[in-house]
Amino acid sequence: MKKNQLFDKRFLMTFFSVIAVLVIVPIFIQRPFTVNVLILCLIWSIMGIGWNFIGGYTGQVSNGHALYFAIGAYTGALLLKWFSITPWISMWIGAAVSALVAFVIGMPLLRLSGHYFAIATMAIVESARIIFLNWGLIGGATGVTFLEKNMSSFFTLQFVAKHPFYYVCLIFFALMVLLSKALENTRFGFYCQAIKANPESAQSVGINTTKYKSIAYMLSAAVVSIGGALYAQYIQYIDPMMLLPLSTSMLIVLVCVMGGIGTVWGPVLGAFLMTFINEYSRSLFVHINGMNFVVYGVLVILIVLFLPKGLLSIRFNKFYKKERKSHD
Amino acid sequence: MFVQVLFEGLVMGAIYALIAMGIALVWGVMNILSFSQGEFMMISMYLAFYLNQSLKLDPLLSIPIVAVVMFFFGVMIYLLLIKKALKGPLLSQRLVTFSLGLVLTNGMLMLAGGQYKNIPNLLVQGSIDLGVLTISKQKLVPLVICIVVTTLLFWFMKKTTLGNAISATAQDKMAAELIGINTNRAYMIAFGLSASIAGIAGCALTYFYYINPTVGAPFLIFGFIAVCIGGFGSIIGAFLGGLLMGFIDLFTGTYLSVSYKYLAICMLFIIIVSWKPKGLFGR
Repeated sequence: MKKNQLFDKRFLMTFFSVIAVLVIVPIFIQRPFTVNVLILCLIWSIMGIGWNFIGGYTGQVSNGHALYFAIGAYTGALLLKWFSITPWISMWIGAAVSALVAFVIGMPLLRLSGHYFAIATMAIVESARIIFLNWGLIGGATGVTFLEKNMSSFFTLQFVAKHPFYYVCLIFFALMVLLSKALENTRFGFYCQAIKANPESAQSVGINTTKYKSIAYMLSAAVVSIGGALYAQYIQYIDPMMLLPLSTSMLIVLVCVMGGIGTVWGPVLGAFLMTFINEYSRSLFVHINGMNFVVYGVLVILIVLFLPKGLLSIRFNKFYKKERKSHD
Repeated sequence: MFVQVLFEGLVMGAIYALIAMGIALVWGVMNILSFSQGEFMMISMYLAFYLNQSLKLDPLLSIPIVAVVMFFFGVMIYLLLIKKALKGPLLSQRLVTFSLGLVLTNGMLMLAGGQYKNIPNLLVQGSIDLGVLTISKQKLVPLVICIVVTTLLFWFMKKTTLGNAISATAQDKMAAELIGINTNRAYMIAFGLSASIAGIAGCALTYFYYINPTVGAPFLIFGFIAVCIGGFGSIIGAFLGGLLMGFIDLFTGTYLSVSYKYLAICMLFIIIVSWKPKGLFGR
């Protein structure tokens, strides 16, 4: 396969314009709340891209990616707190741990399909939450607070202002988008999509489905874990109840479905939409307990019902119709 | 002690079984993972609570009212959301029921507040002492209700035309339509029934459990696990899976450690499912 086929021209144009917008826009924003929302958008994009490898391209819908989010967050936090290891390194350790856990968990679970796989991954997250809650060494139910003021903020990735952290997230975001696109156009990506389309016929043409599902699952775990590490450095406090409820796992899925499953830009679009709805409804209805989730839930139901293939499908539909008309 | 734990396990298992049967009904018939089942139960607990507050009605006596109200609530949800979601991909059906659960939990939080509530002055109180076993009558109620509901559900599915129509739709939708079954109506009634079962479970649960907007969540995940252990969409499987779940819950909680009892359930589930991917009684 030729190397220049990895990124087609249209993708590169979209990519550079998106990155350019994301670099320039925050310069004009002074309000910390808005930058905060943008940082969360980028982190959720990274996690959505991660989930997309297994759920979108390979078609194994996992409802338990909160586990890798938590592993990434805890590894980054604890290594910084105990051994003063910079997150620049520890996030890759966290990714490796996540991939290892995904390998072990994937062996029995990836043989399951449909609802069974989803419920099994939910059960794994539930077990993980109980273990994390009762494991005194890593803070148990009280969690970990790890504000480090003695070391330089570039070393600990803990900044007083929000802008520097935003640009750090942007670097990882750009890397993950490139990774996602690169995988889509490699042999590995084609195998994954074949497994999604029809596992039996993929097997019959000689694709080792178990192996490729396992690799996709490990990869997706590693990417989500990097998102978790960034999140932990940003919030500077983590506990199991915050990282491991069912809603975290579902939100990762939601981000992809909103944008468009199995596409490069789908999770990104979905993450920006969902985070904006979530954060702004939270700040708007701060005085009414629970109102923000009601608004959020109703909006999600409406979008899922009326755009089941995600936001990206709107543009494709129009494009497709125009093309057909010109042919007629 | 052992007999006592066995009894308590049976009671908890009865509640899990009721939730699981509702989930199995929706799963088996229309292949949807109903994430809002726990919230249906939570709403009916509040219904029973407010009926008790305003009309001094015992939860036991409010079961028929709650069951009917929840049936029509389920039918309404089906017509408003599920009917449209069924045309979309599998994942969006799951997300619709999950978001519905989110709306119901937080809507109830807005209406009723987050305080823990319970119903005072229950009709059935006291206990029966059998020497080795002290049966609290309050806990006997859910057990009896579960047995009655399960029997009724089986009778309905096996002996009535409507029940047979629902089973036929579950087995093969196209074939059911060919022989003149209105599958849309079968779906509607199945969804309403599952909400109604959740309603009955909620009323029974108020006898020995607190009431709170978030009470549904733990029951939901164990309901799912019970259905999986029992086997793909089969109602008897869900019933037995629920009972098993209750025994494990109480036995590990009593003899090993309270904080790790849910871990035991999850681990058992993983082991069973990796040994028999279609569940213990799966087809």
